[in-house]
This record gives sequence, structure tokens and C-alpha cells, in this order.
Amino acid sequence: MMKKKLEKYYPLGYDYRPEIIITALMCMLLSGWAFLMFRAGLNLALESVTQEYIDGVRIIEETAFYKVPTFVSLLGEFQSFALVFIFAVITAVYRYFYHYQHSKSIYLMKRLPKRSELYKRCLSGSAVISLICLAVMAGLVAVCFMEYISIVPEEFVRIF
Amino acid sequence: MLEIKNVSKSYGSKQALSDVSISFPRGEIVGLFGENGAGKTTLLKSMLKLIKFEGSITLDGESISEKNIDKLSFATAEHSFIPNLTPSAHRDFYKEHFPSFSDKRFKSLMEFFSLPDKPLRSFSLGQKNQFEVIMALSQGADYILIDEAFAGNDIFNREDFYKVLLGILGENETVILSTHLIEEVSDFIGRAVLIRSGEIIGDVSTLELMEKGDNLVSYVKRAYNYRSDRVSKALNDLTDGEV
Repeated sequence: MMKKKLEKYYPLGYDYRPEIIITALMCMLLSGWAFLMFRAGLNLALESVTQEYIDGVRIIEETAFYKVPTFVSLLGEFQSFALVFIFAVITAVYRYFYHYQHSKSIYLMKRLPKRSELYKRCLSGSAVISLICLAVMAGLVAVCFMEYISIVPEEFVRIF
Repeated sequence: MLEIKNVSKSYGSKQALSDVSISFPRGEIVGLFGENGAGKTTLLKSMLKLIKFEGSITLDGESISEKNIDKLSFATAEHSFIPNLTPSAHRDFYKEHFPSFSDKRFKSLMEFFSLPDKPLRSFSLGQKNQFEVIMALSQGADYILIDEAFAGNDIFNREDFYKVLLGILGENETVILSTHLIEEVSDFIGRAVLIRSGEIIGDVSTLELMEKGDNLVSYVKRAYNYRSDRVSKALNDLTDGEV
């Protein structure tokens, strides 16, 4: 049932599973990478302003307020998610040219009474990839924020 | 009535159609003849609005749009089906998009040509051509445009197709058949349109020709200024007059 519904948003006879698998893998790898870099950046910054540890508790210099990075400045690696959006654009172009593979089914698609059908089938998948990526990014920002406020002492927390 | 008025189309510096004007009433089988590159395919694609052109093409007074495009169907030697789909999946898709799709005609033609319900990519070239034409005939269109769709099929297959075509066409259906096979279709068509270098150089009904005691092949040769002596001249030149 779900498969039938999905098929309506992809070119006819198109195997959309590789796209979904690649998107999932890209999102997982980029999330892991972005989180790792966020955590590493935060640790390095905190280490540089740590005076000492007392019973495992980090003691930070009192004057270090501006040396502790803001939350947003630690999200720099999120730009690597641009790869997913580039992938979304590439797949949209590929889905259009799929209609030229082994036949000219583009002729059929272009003479349908519902002209939007071709564009719906070429663009919907890319919209889904972009939305999945945005959702993953939003979830990751939330996780990173929780991590940030749990590690950085309250008086040093800065968002921007 | 499908009316083409002052249609021109060029690909870069090459003029593919030059000020073409012609009309096709309903209920005709029309042969569209011309050599390779004469403009036959360009004319058919213009009718379907698959390419941009200058001039106007109207169906019953209205220009071709989403509202009336379902009245035109297309079968091409390039194939417009989806190779990964089965015939029944094509039928479902056509039924969803073309309200006049004829399930009955589809079933009958599938049976007639004994086509299997497997993905089209596994079909032979002949089967692919047959399927292409089946979909064009089953769409429920008033104008069925066929562009060399039987190139690559054997003579028996083609003859079967012409007979089936004559047998199933309704009185309001028009077939515009673009082909090189003039002799082969001369008994099946009611009108012949000749195109050369993007211009219509002949338009005649086969009945008219018959009444004059003429035939289509001679008419086409005359229209194309075919020089019957060119073969003997060429052979003479090649063999230094020994033939």
C-alpha cells in the first residue's frame, strides 16, 4: 500500500529505493560527523579555559566568558549537509532524464492532460530528500543544544 | 477538424517546416510521405505540442492544450512507453489519465498480437512496436499519429496491422501515418500528403487518383520529380557504357 503511494511520486517504473538508502546513509554519516565535530570543538574550547579539575569537576577561569564558544559557532560542520541538498538537485535532474532512457517516454509524459504530472514525478522525491535532511538537521541541533547546556556552566552559556 | 496554419519550425539554421498549412477532418486514414529529414516527424511533434513552433495548430477551433490533448495519441519508432512497466501497468496509467481509454480495444489488440504481460524492456523490437501502436489506438483519441512505428517489423506483421487498423477504426477516428512504405500502405489510406524540405508538395485523395487511372507510387514519383533514367545513367557511368 505504502509502496503504491510512493510510486505515484516518482517516475513510472523508477526504482526509488537506492535514493532513499543513499539519503539515509548520507544523513547518518553527516549527522555523526557534525556531532563529532561539535563535541570536539566544545571540548577543545573548554579545555583551553579550564583551570583545573577538582574531584572530576571542571573549574573554568572566571574571565573566560568570551572564550567559551557560542552554541551557534559550534555548528559550523552542519554546512556539510549541503551535500544532501546537492544530491536532491542531482536526483531531480536524473529523474527527468530517466524519461529518455531506452525509450522516449518523455513524449508520453509531456502529452498528458495533467501537465503537472511530469514535474510532480521528477521533483517530489527531491522535496522529500530535502525535508528529511531538514528534519535530521533540526533533530541534531536539538541534541547538540542539550549537550551544550549540559556541559557548559550556566553562566557561560551563549546561543549567538 | 485538426487545422495547421502557417506552421514553421527551424533547428538552428535548418528549416524543418516552412509555412505549412493543412487540415485533417475526422474519419480519414492519411499517409504522410517524405524522405528522411523532410519534416514528417517535426510536423507530428508540432501537432502534439512536443516542440515549439511558429504558426497555429487548432483542434475544432481550439489550440492544443491540457483540455484537448487527450484527443491526440502518438506512436513513434522512438517508442514512448516506459520500458520498466508491464502492459497492464501502462493500461492502468492510461486509464488514470485518458478518460476515453478503451479497455476492450487494448485487450483485443494485446490478444491479437499475443503480447505477454512482462516489462516492455524484455520485448523484441517488433513487439515493442506493436505495443506502441496498441497504446496509441487504445487511448481513445480522435487523431492517432503514427510515426514510422512499424519500422523494423516484418511485412506479415505490418500487413496484419493495416488490416486490424481498417477493421477497428471508428468513423470519427483519423489516423495520420508517417511512413516510407508508400506501396505497402497505398491500398489502406484514403489520402496522401507529401512533404519535402519542410513544405507540403502534394495532397491528394487515393479515390481521386483511382478515378484518373493513376496510382499513388506514380503520383509520388511525379511530385518528387523522380528521374527514372538515373539508375541506367549511373550504371552507364560506372561501367563505361558496358551495361
